[in-house]
Amino acid sequence: MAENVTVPRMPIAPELLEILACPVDHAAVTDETTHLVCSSCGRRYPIRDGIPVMLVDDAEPPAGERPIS
Amino acid sequence: MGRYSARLAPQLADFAGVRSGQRVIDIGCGPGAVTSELVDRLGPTNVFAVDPSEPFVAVVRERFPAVDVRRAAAEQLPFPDNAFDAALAQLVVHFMSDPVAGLSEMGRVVRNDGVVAACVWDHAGEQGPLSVFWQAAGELDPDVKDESHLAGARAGHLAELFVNAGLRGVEATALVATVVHASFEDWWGPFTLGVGPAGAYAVGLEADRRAELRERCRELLPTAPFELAARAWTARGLA
Repeated sequence: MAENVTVPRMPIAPELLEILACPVDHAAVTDETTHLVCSSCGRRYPIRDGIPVMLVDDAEPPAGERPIS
Repeated sequence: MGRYSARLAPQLADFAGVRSGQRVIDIGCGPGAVTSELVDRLGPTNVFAVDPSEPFVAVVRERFPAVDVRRAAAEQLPFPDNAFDAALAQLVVHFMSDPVAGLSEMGRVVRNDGVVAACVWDHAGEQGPLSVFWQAAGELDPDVKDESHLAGARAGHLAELFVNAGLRGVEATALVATVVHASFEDWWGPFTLGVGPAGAYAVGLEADRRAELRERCRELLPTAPFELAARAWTARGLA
C-alpha cells in the first residue's frame, strides 16, 4: 500500500445507493464521498470510517444554512 | 448476554420466516447476533444492519465487511418504503425511545405482507436472563430500578405495541434460550463489563456493595455447572 496516502473509501455500489434514503423525508441520497446528501432537504450525513452516520442529530444542515434544530 | 442472544437469533429468524432469496434488515444489530444468522441464511449482500451506537456498528463492520451497516435509529430509518422482505429487532424494542414509532418504521421499510418481528427478554417475569441479578439487587436495595418496566418486557405487551404500530395479523410467542454456565464466575463475569442497565448498575456500585451483590447472586443460583433458560417475549406482524 502506498505511503502517506489516504486510502480512498470504496464508492457505495449503485444498487446499494438505490436503497439508501434520508431518514427524515425518505428521499434519495447521493454519494459525495465524505457525505451522503439528501436530494430533497439537503441534509448531509457524514461517512465516518466508511460507515454512513444516518442519525438525524448528527446530520449537517444543507450548505449555506444554519443548523437544523 | 451474548451467548443467550446467539441462541435466540436462529429462533427469531425461523419465527419471522427468513429464507434464502430474501433481503432482510437487522434493526439495532448490537454486536451482530442476528446479523450473523442472517448472513448464514441469505449471504452478506442481502443483509442490512443498523444501530445508533458507534462501537457496535464498528464491530459488525469488522465481522461482516460485505454487510451494509449504518448508524441509524429505529424511529428514523434511512431507507425508502418497501425496501425489505423482513425487518427483525432482537432485544431492542425496550431500548427504543418510542417503541411504537420504531415498529411502525420497520413496517414502512418492509414490503406489503413482509414480516416485522421482534423479541424482548422477559424482564418482568422470573425467567429473564437477568432475573437472579435483579432479584439479588432488589433484596439489597429495595429502591433499585430493574428492567421490568421497559417496553415489551411483560407478557402480552410486545404484541400490543405491534398492533399500535399498525402491523397486521399480529402473533405472539415466547422463545427460550438455554445456556450452560461452567462456573459462577462464567455467569457473573459479563456483568462486570458494564454493558446494559444491569452491567451499568453492577459497575456503578462501590466495591463492597458489588461484592455483596455477587455473593447474594451466588446463593440464589444453583451450584455450578448449571443451566439457565431465559425466556423472550416475541411477536411478528405483517406490514
